[in-house]
Amino acid sequence: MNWRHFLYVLYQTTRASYLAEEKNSSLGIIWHLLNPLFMTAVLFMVFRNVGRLGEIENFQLYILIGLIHYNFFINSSQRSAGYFVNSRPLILNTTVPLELLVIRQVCIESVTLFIEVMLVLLLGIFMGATLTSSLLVYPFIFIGVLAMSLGASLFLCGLAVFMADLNYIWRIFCRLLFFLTPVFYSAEIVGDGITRSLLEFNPLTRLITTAREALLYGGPITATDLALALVGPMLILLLGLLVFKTNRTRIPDYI
Amino acid sequence: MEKGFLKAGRSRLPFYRQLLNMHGNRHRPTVNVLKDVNLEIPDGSRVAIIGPNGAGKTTLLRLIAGIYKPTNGNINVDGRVCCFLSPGAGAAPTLPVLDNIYLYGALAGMSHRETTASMSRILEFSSLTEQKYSWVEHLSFGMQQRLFMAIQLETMRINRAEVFLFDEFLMGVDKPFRSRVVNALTEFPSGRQIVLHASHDHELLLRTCPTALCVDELGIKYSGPTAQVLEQYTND
Repeated sequence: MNWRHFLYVLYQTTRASYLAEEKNSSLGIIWHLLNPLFMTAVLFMVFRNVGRLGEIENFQLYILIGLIHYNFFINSSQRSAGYFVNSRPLILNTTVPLELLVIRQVCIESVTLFIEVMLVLLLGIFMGATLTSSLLVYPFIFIGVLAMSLGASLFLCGLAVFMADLNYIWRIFCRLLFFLTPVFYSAEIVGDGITRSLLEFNPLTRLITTAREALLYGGPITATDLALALVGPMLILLLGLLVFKTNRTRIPDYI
Repeated sequence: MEKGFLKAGRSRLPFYRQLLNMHGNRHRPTVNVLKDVNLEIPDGSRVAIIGPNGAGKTTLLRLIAGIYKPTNGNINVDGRVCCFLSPGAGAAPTLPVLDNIYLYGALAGMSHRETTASMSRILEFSSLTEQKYSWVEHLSFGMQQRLFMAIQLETMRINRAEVFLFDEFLMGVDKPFRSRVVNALTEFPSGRQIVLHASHDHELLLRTCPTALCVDELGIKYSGPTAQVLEQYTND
């Protein structure tokens, strides 16, 4: 399969999955926007008067940016965890590359993330966000989040076929990750210690922090900041590729 | 080829047993099929594959398609493979017929332009012109099979690949459509195209495939002209 046909099949399968999910839904894609908005409203109402959280400038958009990136990573990886087992007829009866099926899962969620980012920009204009040339850095952050999600998806797809319980383990991990990612708080208020180290070790922390600078605060983003934000996702992508390639030939036999 | 059959309740194994499953063999019962296969299929061949259930017919097709990797030996396929082992696999039943033609056509190897050019032919051949906006899940099983087979035949007509693999692909269709498919298959010039068709429908195989292989768990039992192979198989 040449790359052009690969992209065409990816487009067709992604489009079909997306349309099939929105079938019979009155609001369709609007639900993907309402979900983070409702969650943002709840977190804002609960935490705005808690300690130093209420001092964060534009706290609502601060939460929304963290939430949409966190949701993207979680949703795309959780989609992938059991995907091969549930797609047995497709895998065993067609010559569609397995890699395409994984990328498709990430692409489906990336459409939602793109729309949510547009929503953030629109709200930012009305709510006084500082939009500067730092906004041009955001596509690299988008790619970073994509790479991290793809790496996690490849890792899960490559292993979940052999370890059914990995699906459940990943869900528990995702719940913990919500509190170990500065979605609704800033890393500074955690103080120094093991929690801070875990936060810094989490690649999502740097990605979300840099995304906030680009989309909300218009702060200066140096090449070093960007490189540090992208190192973690690229390593996760490499790990995912390695695990997937190692187990790839055995997957059709095990599902 | 070692084919694994998974134990029921595999996910209820203790965690360390699941880890051991990754390195496979001790905890997975396996069945050896196609133990000794030496096969060369020249260009332009139309070959029927027959054999009892569980002999390895579908496994052989999956090996040729590259879905499975052989446990021992190697397989060389010169050309693109179009694999139709289960009509409709990969289609979206909750989308209209038109969308599914583009989707299934893409999976079969057709570009957007080719699918658009072939659209009216596919709809006409499958007699679904009136239902082109209907959701596929609202069609009967036979109508769905007609749709996917029409797309499969169109990929053959436009030479989208060099190797075509079919597995019981005329299940559930009515007699008029069946005759149309058989006529189309016999009328297509083979050229370089290789067609491998696994089926229990001997009458269909006699009409569409000049040569046949009989497969059992040991490998290829015998091969030759289809009528001869079928007679020997029936007598066995």
